[in-house]
Amino acid sequence: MHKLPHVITLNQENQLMKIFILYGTETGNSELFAEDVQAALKDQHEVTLVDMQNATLDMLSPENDLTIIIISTYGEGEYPTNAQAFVKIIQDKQPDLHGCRIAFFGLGDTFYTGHYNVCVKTLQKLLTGLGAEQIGPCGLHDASSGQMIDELMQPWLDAVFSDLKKQ
Amino acid sequence: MIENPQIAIIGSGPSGIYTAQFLLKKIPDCKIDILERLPTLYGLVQYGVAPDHQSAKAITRQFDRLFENKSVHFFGGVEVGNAIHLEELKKLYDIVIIASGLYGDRRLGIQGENLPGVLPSGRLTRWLNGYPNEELKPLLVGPHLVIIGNGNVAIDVARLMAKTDQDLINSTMDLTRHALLGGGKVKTIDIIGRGLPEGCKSDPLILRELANIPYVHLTVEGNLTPDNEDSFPQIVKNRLKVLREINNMGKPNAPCQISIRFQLKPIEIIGDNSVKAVIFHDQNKNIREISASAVVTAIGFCDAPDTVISRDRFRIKNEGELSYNLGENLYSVGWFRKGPTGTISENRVDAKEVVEIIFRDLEQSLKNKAKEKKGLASEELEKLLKARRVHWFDFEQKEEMSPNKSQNTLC
Ligand SMILES: Cc1cc2nc3c(=O)[nH]c(=O)nc-3n(C[C@H](O)[C@H](O)[C@H](O)COP(=O)(O)OP(=O)(O)OC[C@H]3O[C@@H](n4cnc5c(N)ncnc54)[C@H](O)[C@@H]3O)c2cc1C
Ligand SMILES: Cc1cc2nc3c(=O)[nH]c(=O)nc-3n(C[C@H](O)[C@H](O)[C@H](O)COP(=O)(O)O)c2cc1C
Repeated sequence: MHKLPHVITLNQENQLMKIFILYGTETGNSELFAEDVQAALKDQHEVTLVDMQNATLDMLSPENDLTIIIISTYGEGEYPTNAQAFVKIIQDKQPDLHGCRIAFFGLGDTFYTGHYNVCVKTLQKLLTGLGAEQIGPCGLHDASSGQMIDELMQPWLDAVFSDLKKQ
Repeated sequence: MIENPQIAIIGSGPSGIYTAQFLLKKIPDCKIDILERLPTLYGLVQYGVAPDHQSAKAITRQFDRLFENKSVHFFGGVEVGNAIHLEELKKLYDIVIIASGLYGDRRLGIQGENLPGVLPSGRLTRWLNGYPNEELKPLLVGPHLVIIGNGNVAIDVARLMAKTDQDLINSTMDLTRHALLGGGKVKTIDIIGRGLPEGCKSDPLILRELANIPYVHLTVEGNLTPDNEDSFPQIVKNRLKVLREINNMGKPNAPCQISIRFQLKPIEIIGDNSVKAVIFHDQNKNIREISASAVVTAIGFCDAPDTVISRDRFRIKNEGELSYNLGENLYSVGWFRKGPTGTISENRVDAKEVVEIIFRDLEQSLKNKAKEKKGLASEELEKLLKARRVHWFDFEQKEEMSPNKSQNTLC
């Protein structure tokens, strides 16, 4: 049976943190991982889970305490279908993202040499290039590693939240 | 909306599993029973997807999570149409969804097709994937393999037959079966398509993968620079580019020579007790003979001869796709609905759509007539199966039922 990790407690002036989780997925792994992250955080924070297909630019606003982006890579370094329109909006509108805090997690496969997890990496460059601040390390899952995706969640979330606390 | 709608899904392939996932999101109080003819789960992910593509098969980890939900039950080893009839299911459940795929190999319909040494690709890939009840007569493929068809399955077969056991250690290939076929010892592989290079259906990624096998030399025969190339969609341009790149990559002395050829229409397979050659017509109707010690047909899928849920029965004239709703409370999704092409993720899109439609129809049915409250369909189904002495497997038993999937090792 799958176990949920312990819930992260974070008191920031005793306020509920407002967190958006945006996922881009082709075969459903990123969505499931995003749901797991939501389940781990929702008791302590105000968490909204969003399919990137329905994402809007205000979800990247500095008003939010944290935006989490979970995205896979498809084809040969292509964005998942449900993420393409939103990425295009960002590329076209070039919004000012100063003050916006974003954590990244990518799902990919080293089998695709030369294209490993390129989506999360290019998105990271794009958003930090627009002024966003990256929180924690960019998490990466490699489908060829044989590792379960959810095993990576707790260490990555811990790193993200300890980075957030420092601020 | 009916409270706790009871839903039966026929087939545990990607389309059935994705449909169940989306149903639970859209209708959280629904109850789902998944009926599967095999004792094992996940359809072609297990028995189609190439055994050396482990990361593509890793999707099963996501699928496994579905069964943590107490509203979902698995009935493995229950063939609908055999152990229980479709009409019976439709009476027991509020909604019945056919997600049974298509596993019959399409036939060429030419002379010589029944000769020993002609292997349909569906059966071959099932066999290599360790499928328990596939009765493929083990025979040596021999030195000269001709593959008819140039889609992804054809390229998978070429790669699997070219690769040596050494290169398959980290796969779930049934190595005993691979050896029985003489896998890794094939000297020439001809991959033949009827159409032009620009119509080639295979994924550029797996074309490259094939050409990159160190002991394979690959050549592509045909016009790879058509005059009207600029007018093609990007995806076609990419494919032509890859075909040009992989052509003749400079390993002419490699032990396995693969040729991809276009515009050849198979006319006859010749041989006495086994295959000797395949006769083709080229674009000018000239005869071309390619010698072969074995032939694999990889030209698509259709209703299997032994199928109990016929897709053709639901087809209206020549329509390629079926409707999502097949009348009353019966629905279809995935390869069964769309026809036998498309990747795993395309079934996810289809599953999302069928769930939207079911949701709408359920809302509608409340407005029209509230269905009378029935008993628990799962229990009724179990009673019926027991009375018929049908033994079924639940999800917890899947490990003991799955074919030996221990890691391959070479001594
Ligand atoms: C050789 C091969 C290789 C492939 N490789 C890839 C790949 O690498 N990547 C990729 O994305 N896609 C691949 N595909 C395509 C992919 O497998 C399909 O898109 C997908 O499996 C279709 O899903 P489905 O659920 O509609 O059908 P299926 O996967 O066929 O599942 C149907 C299920 O229904 C069951 N069933 C049938 N009849 C009954 C019945 N009467 N009662 C109960 N159960 C029944 C079957 O046993 C089966 O488990 C491949 C396909 C083939 C044939
Ligand atoms: C056809 C196909 C192409 C892929 N291409 C890439 C790629 O270019 N780079 C990469 O890192 N991963 C690639 N992957 C691996 C996926 O990103 C990985 O399986 C991931 O877990 C999928 O997550 P998702 O289900 O959320 O889409 C590919 C997978 C498939 C099936």
